[in-house]
Amino acid sequence: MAEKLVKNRIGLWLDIFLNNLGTIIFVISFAVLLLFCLNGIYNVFVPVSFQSGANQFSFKFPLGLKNGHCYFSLLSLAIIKNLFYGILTLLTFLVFGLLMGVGNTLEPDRRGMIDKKGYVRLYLSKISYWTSYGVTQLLQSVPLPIFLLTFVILVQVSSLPVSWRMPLNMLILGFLLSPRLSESFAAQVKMLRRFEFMDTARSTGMSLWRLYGSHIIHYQMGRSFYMLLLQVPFYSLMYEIFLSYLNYGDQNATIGLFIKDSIQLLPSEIILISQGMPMSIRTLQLAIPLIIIAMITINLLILRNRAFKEKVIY
Amino acid sequence: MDKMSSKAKYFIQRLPAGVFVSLASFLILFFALQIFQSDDVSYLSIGEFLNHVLRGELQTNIEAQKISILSIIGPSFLAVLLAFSFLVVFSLLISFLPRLYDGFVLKIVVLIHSSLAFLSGFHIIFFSILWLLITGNQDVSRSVIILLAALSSGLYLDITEQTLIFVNKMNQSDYIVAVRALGQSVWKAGRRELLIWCLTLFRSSWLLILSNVIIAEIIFSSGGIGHILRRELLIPAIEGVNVELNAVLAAIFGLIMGIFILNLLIDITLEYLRKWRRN
Repeated sequence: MAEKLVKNRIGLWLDIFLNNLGTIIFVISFAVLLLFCLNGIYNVFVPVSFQSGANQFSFKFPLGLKNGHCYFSLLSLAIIKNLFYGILTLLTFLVFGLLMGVGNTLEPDRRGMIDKKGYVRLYLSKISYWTSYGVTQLLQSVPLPIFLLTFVILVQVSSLPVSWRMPLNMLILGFLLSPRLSESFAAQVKMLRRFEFMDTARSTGMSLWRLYGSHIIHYQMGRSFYMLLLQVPFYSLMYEIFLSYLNYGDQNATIGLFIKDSIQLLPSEIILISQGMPMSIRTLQLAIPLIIIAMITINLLILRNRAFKEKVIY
Repeated sequence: MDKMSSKAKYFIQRLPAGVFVSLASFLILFFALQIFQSDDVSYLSIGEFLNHVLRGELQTNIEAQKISILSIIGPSFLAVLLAFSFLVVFSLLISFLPRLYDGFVLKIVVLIHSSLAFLSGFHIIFFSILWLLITGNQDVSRSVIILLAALSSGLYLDITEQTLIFVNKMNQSDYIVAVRALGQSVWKAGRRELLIWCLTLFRSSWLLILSNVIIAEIIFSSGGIGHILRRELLIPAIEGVNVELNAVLAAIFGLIMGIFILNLLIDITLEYLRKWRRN
C-alpha cells in the first residue's frame, strides 16, 4: 500500500512536471534572454570590457573571450541590436498596415455628394482607396523575397552610410509585410459595418479611433492581430540572419554574423570532437547563438499555443 | 444565352486588374534591376527584352548556353505543387484516420502530427540553417527542399487545422447524412465541396509555399528561381562584377506571368464550381 502511494506520488509529480513543461521552458529561456538583454543595455552605456587573457572559464567572462572582447557582452549587444531592428520593423509594419487597411475600407461612395465639400471628400476617398488597394495588390503579386532582395541590393549599391543600410532594409521588410495586416483589417471593418451595434456605438458618441482600437482591433481581430505583432520582430530577426548569410548584412556584431560564423565553423568542430578532440569554450561560443534563436522561437511557439491558439474540436 | 454572357462577363471583369498589377510589379522590378545591368547588354525597351526572352537567348557570362523560362521557373512551381499535395494528403489522412481505425498506430501518428505541428512554427530560414549546421554542406536533394518548405512558417499547422474543421463540418452536414442514410456514394455527393475547399486552400497558401521554396533555393543554391537569383544577381552584385541580368529578368517575368495565370485559372475554376456546377 505504502509503495503504491509513493509510486502514485511520483507519478503525480511527473504529471505536474510534464503538464507544465512548456511553462518551465518558457520561464527559464525568458530569464536567460532577459539576462542577455539587460547586459546588452548595460553595455550600451558602459563600453565592452577589453582585455586579453587565457581562453578559459571565469565568472568575469562567462562565455570566454573573442578577439580579446568579452563574448557574453558582444552577444548581448547583438541581441539588443536585433531587438532594435525588430521594433523598427514592427513600427513600420503597424503604420503602413493600419494606414493601408483604413484606405482599403474607403470605397468611393457617391452618397452625400451635394456640395463642394462632398466632392472633395469623394475624390480624397477615391485617391486613398485606389492607392492603398493598388499597393496591397502589387505587394501580393510577387513573393516577398523577390521584392526584398531587389530593394536590399539597391540599398547596398547606393551611396548611403554603411550603418544606415540594415535599418533601411528592416523598414523595407516592414513595408513589404504590411499587406498581411491591412487585408485582414479591411475585411473586418467591411464585415462589421453591417452590424447595428457599430451604429449604436457611433451614436453614443464613441470616437472613430476608439471604435477601431477597441471593437475591431482588440475584440474582433484579437488573436490574429497580437500574433502578427509577435511574429514581425521574429521575421526581422530571421531575415537579418538570411541577409548576413548572403553577405548583405551589418558589418558590426549582429546575431546574423554570429550564426554565419557558426555555419562555417561548427560542422568541422563537431567532426573533430567526434574524433576525440576535447570540447573547448570555442564550441560553446559557436553553439550558443543557435541556442538563443531556438529559445526565442520556442518562447514564441509556447505563447502562441497557450494564449492565442484557436481551440479545434477533434 | 444569358448564362453564357454572364460567364464571359466574369472572365472579362477579372482580367484588367490582374494584368495591370502584374505588369506594374514587373516594370518596377525591371527598371530597378536595370541599374546593375552592364552597359553593353542593357535594354532600351521592353519589346527588345521580350524578343530576347521568347527566343530563349539568355546567354550569360557564366554559362554561354540557351536557357528557357520554363527550365528556370519549372522546378520551383513543381516543388510548390508537390509540397501542397503532401500537406493535403497528410492532413486528410490525419483527419480521417480516427474514424477508420483506433489503435497503437493511431497514437504514433497523432504524436508525429502534434510534434510536426509544434515544429511548423519555425521559419524556413531557421530550418535551412539547422540543416547546414548538421550536414555541413549545401548539396541537398529537391525532396528536402520540398519538405522544409511544407513544414515551416506555420503552414502545416494551419492546413491541418483547416482540414479538420472542414471534414467535421462536412460530416455533420445534412446532405452527407442524407446520402449515408440512403446508402448512396458519399464521394459523388461531396467531391465538388472537397474540390472547392482544396482550391481555396491552395489559393490562400501557395504564394507562401513559393516564397519558402525560393528562400530554400537561395540558401542551398539548388535549382529553380532562387538558384538563378543567387548565381546571377546576389553574388555578382556583392562582388561588384558587371552583371548580366537576362536570366534573372526572364525568371522574374516568368514568375509573375505564372502567378497571374495560375491565380486566374483557380479563380475561374472556383467561380465555375460555385455557380454553374451541381455535384
